[in-house]
Amino acid sequence: MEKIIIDKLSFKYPLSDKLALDNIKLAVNEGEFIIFCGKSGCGKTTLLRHLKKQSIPHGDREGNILVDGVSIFSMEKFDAVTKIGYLYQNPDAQIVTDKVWHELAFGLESLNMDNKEMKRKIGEMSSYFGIQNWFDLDTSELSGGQKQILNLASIMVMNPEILILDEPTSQLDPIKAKEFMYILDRINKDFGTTIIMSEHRLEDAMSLCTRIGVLDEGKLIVFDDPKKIHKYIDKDRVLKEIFSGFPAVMQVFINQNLNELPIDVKDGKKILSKLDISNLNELYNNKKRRSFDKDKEVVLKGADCWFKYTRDGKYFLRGLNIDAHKGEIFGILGGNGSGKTTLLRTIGGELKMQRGSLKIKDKVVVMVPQNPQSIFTELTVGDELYEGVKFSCSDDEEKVERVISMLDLMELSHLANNNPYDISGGEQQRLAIGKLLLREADILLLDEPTKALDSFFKSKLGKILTKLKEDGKTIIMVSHDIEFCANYADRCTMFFNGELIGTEVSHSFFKDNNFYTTTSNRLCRDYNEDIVTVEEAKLWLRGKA
Amino acid sequence: MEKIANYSLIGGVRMSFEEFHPISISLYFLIVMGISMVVSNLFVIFVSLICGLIYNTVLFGFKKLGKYIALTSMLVSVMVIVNGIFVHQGETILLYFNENPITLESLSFGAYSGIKFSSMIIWFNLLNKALDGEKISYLFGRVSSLFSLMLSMILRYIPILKRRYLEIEQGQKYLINDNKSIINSLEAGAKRLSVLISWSLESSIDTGISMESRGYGIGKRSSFHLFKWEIRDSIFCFSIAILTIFFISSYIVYEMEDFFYPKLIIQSYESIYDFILIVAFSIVCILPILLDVVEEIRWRKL
Repeated sequence: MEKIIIDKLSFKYPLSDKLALDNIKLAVNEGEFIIFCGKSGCGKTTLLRHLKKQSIPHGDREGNILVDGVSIFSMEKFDAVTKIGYLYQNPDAQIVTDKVWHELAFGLESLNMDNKEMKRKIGEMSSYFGIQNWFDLDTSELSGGQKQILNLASIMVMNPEILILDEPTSQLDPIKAKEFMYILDRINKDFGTTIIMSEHRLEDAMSLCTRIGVLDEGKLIVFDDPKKIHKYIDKDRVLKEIFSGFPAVMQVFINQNLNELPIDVKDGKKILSKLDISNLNELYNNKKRRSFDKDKEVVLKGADCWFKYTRDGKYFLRGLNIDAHKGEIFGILGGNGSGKTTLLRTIGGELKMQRGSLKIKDKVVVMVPQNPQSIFTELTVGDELYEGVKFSCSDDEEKVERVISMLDLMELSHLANNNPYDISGGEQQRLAIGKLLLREADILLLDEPTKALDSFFKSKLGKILTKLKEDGKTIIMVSHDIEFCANYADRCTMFFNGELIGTEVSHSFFKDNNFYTTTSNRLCRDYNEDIVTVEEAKLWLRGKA
Repeated sequence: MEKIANYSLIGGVRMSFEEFHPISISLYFLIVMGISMVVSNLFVIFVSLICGLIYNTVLFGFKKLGKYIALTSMLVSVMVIVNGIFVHQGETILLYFNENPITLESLSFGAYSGIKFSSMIIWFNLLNKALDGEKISYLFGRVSSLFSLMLSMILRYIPILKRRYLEIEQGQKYLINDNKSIINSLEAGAKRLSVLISWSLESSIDTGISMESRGYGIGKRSSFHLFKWEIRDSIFCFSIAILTIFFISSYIVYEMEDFFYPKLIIQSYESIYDFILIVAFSIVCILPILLDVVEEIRWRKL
């Protein structure tokens, strides 16, 4: 049965001359799990907002949306609240009250339900979501992942038939994001709830969805089973770009003329075992691999660093050794809450170690915070950068020149007059990097730089970091993003139990790891453990007869 | 696990009285504080002060007791001096000060008000411990669900603002100018505040949409709570109500009001009925202390 029908929907924001949605036609069946993806600003959020009456944006609109045969615009208020649940991107901003139990009750309170009935529904939901252990806590004590699960539970408690989610995992680390996806999958399978979601982190989501919709400049260019997506790729250049954010396994097999693309490593290995790959290793010769010169000047050297926050607390750094060279990107991987950020703050000079030595050779160190918003003080992007050079040199013309060249370097020239809050997450990230770099910094510390970035902005950031590296800057980044580190970092290391373990040139680092390694490596390591990135895997498979 | 080292029941007792229903708790404090405030009777105010002191000592230890004794003596002496100097009513003149009479009545009324005032403060500390934000929010929620929601939202916002401010401070560390003049640091402070405000306004738009999409404002709201009215709440409220009725009726019927002006009259206690007054109020005052101590002894025996 068709649950939602979108009929020739076009939409234009006021004061804009471009269509945000352009003649969208689609039908979603009951119990489907749909994912919409596309570059930032492609219209996926605008589309999702049209599916919930309370969040429909203002503007010029044509066409109609039917939910169970009723137009969303003429839907009863009560139905619009209870039938459709909407989860937003930012876990923090959606939480209204101070207690977990009160947050769960918020929607039911709005429906004027009596206490006994509320208690029962909340009890049921908490048990289903495993919330009972943190039921009494303050909402401010929860982790990001818990917050998003709470947001989901406080929508599910109203028992919606349709669940709409706008990039729900973009603020979460990969492990929490995976957990969240499993919960969504369970809801979909246990209750047949129709789920419509926009997402740029597709690794986990892809295997759960029934159909995927790709949007570009307001047009729906593909709406089909993800396993058949490769059939559209050749026809569409934009799709090719978006495809770089798809699961690595899918990317590896794109040119293999398969009927159905594999989505996870298990499927991928099955296909590899059927292929004739005996002579691939002889043909494979990757000349493009990045080389790393270990004799480069060492600009930062830390030896036997020990740090804890309080006298009786545990040590976050336990005899840690670190060195960084001029002109390299150094990637630090590792689990959450292990103290990676603490390490960066120690290097940045914010925290004083209890023991050990840290030598930095006459260099200025800056740290880009996880939340770039926290350093924006001005009204426009240009002013923001000018703020960075305000105290540096006396000559005004020189200042302006440096701002302009930084705008250029960070590829922000076209946004110079925009408000820093109005630009996308990836652009904010680059603006923050630019602002801090103007302090004549030589060592740049990045804390989770790829968090909340889509694949397009990720590769842009990667290119800019490479450019900075070639200018002789040292970049130390802490990240969960294995693929990003494999693609752009020169050396990688793992932060575990207060130490850096297995510090090596990226390629050998991932080659020697069994679990903490890239998807392409996990896929191909049985045949050739030298393969780390998607490009390498594709190159390797190209030799297939 | 917290180990109970000393077996004295001072300072380490847990307030199990706070586990009563918020209505029972608020009724109790209303009665005790109301009577101590309104009734004019020396014995009553002494009982109220002493029970308040004992309860505070049992919960928080001798340190707190010392603090409150100091507070009481300070308040009493200040009130005696102020009242003695500025109020000249009363028949019993003790001496003349700058040709103004200092009367026994005004001095004793000063002392009495000082004790009353300090016993209010002491009981208020207990009220504060027994009724936390959640319970207050519930009590207000019974009157207006909007008010209780507002309170809850404010309590939610305080830690967020704190965390954001710390984050901003941390992020800006690398941007601060080396030249640390007063103007520069003032400017930096103002910038931090402005970031905090724009960031918070930005995110409150999302909060608003989230509220609306969960049905905020579609009709009448109810107010969820986790409190349950138990039989012991009924027993507790019934007993303190009975005791209060005894107290008030004997106070009125036997005319136990003490007078300060124009002449100091302190009622004498002759018949057994006169004592009902004091006994009833003492039981009310001591009841939660007994409940807590009995509970504590039960745990320590385990």
